[in-house]
Amino acid sequence: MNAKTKKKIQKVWKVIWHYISLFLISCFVLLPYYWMIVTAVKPTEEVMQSPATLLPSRLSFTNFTKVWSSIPLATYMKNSMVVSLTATVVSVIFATLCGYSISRYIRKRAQRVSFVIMLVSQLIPGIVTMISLYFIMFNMKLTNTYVGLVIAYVVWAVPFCTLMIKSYFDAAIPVAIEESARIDGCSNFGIFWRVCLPISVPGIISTGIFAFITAWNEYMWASIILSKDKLKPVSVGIYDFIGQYSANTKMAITMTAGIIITIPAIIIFAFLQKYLISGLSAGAVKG
Amino acid sequence: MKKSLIALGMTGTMILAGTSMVMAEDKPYDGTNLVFWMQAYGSDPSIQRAALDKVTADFQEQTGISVEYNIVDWGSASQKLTLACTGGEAPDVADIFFTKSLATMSSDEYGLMELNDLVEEMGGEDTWITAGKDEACVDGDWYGIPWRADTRVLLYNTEDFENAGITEAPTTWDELVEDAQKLTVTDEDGNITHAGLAWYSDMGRYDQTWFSMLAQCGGTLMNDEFTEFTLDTEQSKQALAFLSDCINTYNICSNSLDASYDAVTEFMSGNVSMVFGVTGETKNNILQNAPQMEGKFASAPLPTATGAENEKNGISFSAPIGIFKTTENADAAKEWVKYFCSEDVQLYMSQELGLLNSNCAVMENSYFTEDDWLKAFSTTIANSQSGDMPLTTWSQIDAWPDGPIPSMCANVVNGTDADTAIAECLSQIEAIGF
Repeated sequence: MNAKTKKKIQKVWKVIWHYISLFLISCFVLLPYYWMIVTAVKPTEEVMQSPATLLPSRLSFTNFTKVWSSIPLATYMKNSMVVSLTATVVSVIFATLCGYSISRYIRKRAQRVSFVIMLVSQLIPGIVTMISLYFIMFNMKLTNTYVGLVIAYVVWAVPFCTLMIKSYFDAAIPVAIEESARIDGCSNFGIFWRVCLPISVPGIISTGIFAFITAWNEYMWASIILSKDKLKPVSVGIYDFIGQYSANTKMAITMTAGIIITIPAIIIFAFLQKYLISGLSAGAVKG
Repeated sequence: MKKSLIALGMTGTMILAGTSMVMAEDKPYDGTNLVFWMQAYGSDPSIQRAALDKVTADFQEQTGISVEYNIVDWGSASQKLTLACTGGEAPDVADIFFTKSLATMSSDEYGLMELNDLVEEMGGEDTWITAGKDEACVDGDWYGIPWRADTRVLLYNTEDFENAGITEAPTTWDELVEDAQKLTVTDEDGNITHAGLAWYSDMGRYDQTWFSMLAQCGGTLMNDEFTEFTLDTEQSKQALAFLSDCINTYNICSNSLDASYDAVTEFMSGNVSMVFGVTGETKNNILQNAPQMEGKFASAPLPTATGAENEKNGISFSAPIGIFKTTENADAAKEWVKYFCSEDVQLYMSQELGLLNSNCAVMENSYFTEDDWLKAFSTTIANSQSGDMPLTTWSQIDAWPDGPIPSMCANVVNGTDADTAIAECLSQIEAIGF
């Protein structure tokens, strides 16, 4: 066997191992989702069977109709959508303005300090600030309001979003373009608004996706600040199925609700995936 | 004509004024709004909402008081009640637990309101089971009116019993072992393939099983005043020995240290014939998740050590309804608590949510005493002691897996002698304080 053939075989093996690793990691990551879907469509008598069956003996979709009458799922999803979209829009506005300012107008040293402050803020566990934040909101009469939720989500999302979008501005937007616009008489805000924003869409979208998913998945704050049923987001509402001692007699319907709840996030990822990857990699590789 | 009109007008005004006075006397809190927090119960969230819709509507019709109920999830209930007692958002009335802790953290301004007058009005402390008083009464003052309750019974597979020629549920520990031995199937190496018996509390958590056993042989966890742990007794050692022997000597139940092991799931799958210490909700759980088991299972009071009657041979748990000091409508709130905790409403809620009740009269209703599944619960609860100790540090003392009591039980099962395990447990409890 000559060296060329040997190299070729090695290359093929490398590709095979690559795909085997990908397959195993995918199985590991997707197993909980698989289990959620299979439990939702299993016939009732098989849901809690021991040992568990990997495949249902027949498909049953009755849970997909029952789930809407078991809990006010539509109301919960509407609440989640309103809060998550508002928090996303506000976070993106603040993060974009802040990220651009840090990227372009602050001196190197100040830039580093602001960067460190934002990084440190990410190191503080959210639970540490929760009680003080609760009493601030309570005294401002913002408990049991969407505003109280949105403010907290924006406060938590903005630092990381700023870091993301700043990296994007640093790496993906050449300063030369802005200088050309300045020569043509564009103001500072004009450069940001007319030149930088339109070509930063991938970065902005990836930032927005991060803010949306953070707000959509959040449970702890929402469960503390809200007590009115009609305001509950879906992350809290799904707990209606959990009884005392964490007992759940409606496992299949809970899984069905889980599937429905993940659909908005999946749709967003599916449509905006290419922006997300390019937005993240632009900052990560070159920033 | 003019005089007649004036007289008619005056008469009408007087009638209207009189009617509104009568109405005001009938409904002194008409137009009052209350907020009520309640945790999630029952097998279907929509059933709880429908039941609360009916009860609040009936109450509003009778009193004019509107009650806005909110279902609080179990995951955040403790934080919410803690915040309510320490200056955060509080409802007027709430379904509470850990009453002693909440009462201790309450201040003059915030927290739980003392309800001794309401207790007297509702018939005094004998109205409720012992666990109800132990949970709601702190240092002689009542901070809630007991409502829901729970106790532990034996669940068994009637088909397995029939096949093994067993005609009645065991009433003593000896019978329990004998029956479980008949029902247990092992492989050639002696490993259990079908367990005759399983403890309800899974994941190697033996404390609650042991509490039941302690009561069954006439012991108690603490003295009557809850000032001293009574662990170093013959009954305590007898219960620990039985707990260990069922696993290690008789080989009738699995040493369920596997975190994924769930006794009722195994029962539903036909891998276990008896489950020791199930709760009232178990029936719904089985019917919802294993409809093929319908008609093939039954409940019975847990067997006692010797079959001899001892006064409190079961354990029970209770939770009260409390009023917060921050309410602006204390009297209306008391009306709501009185109504909600009344026998009729409690019976209705028990039926709808599949719960047992702390009110002795409710538990004596034919709904409980004549139902094949529930009568074991009504028998046990009438003759039970409190399963949770009314201590502020109880959640630490009974914390799973490393709290002193769960550790003591696990150590004995794993081979430590009872005297050493008890001594270690008592010294750990002393370090925590109570």
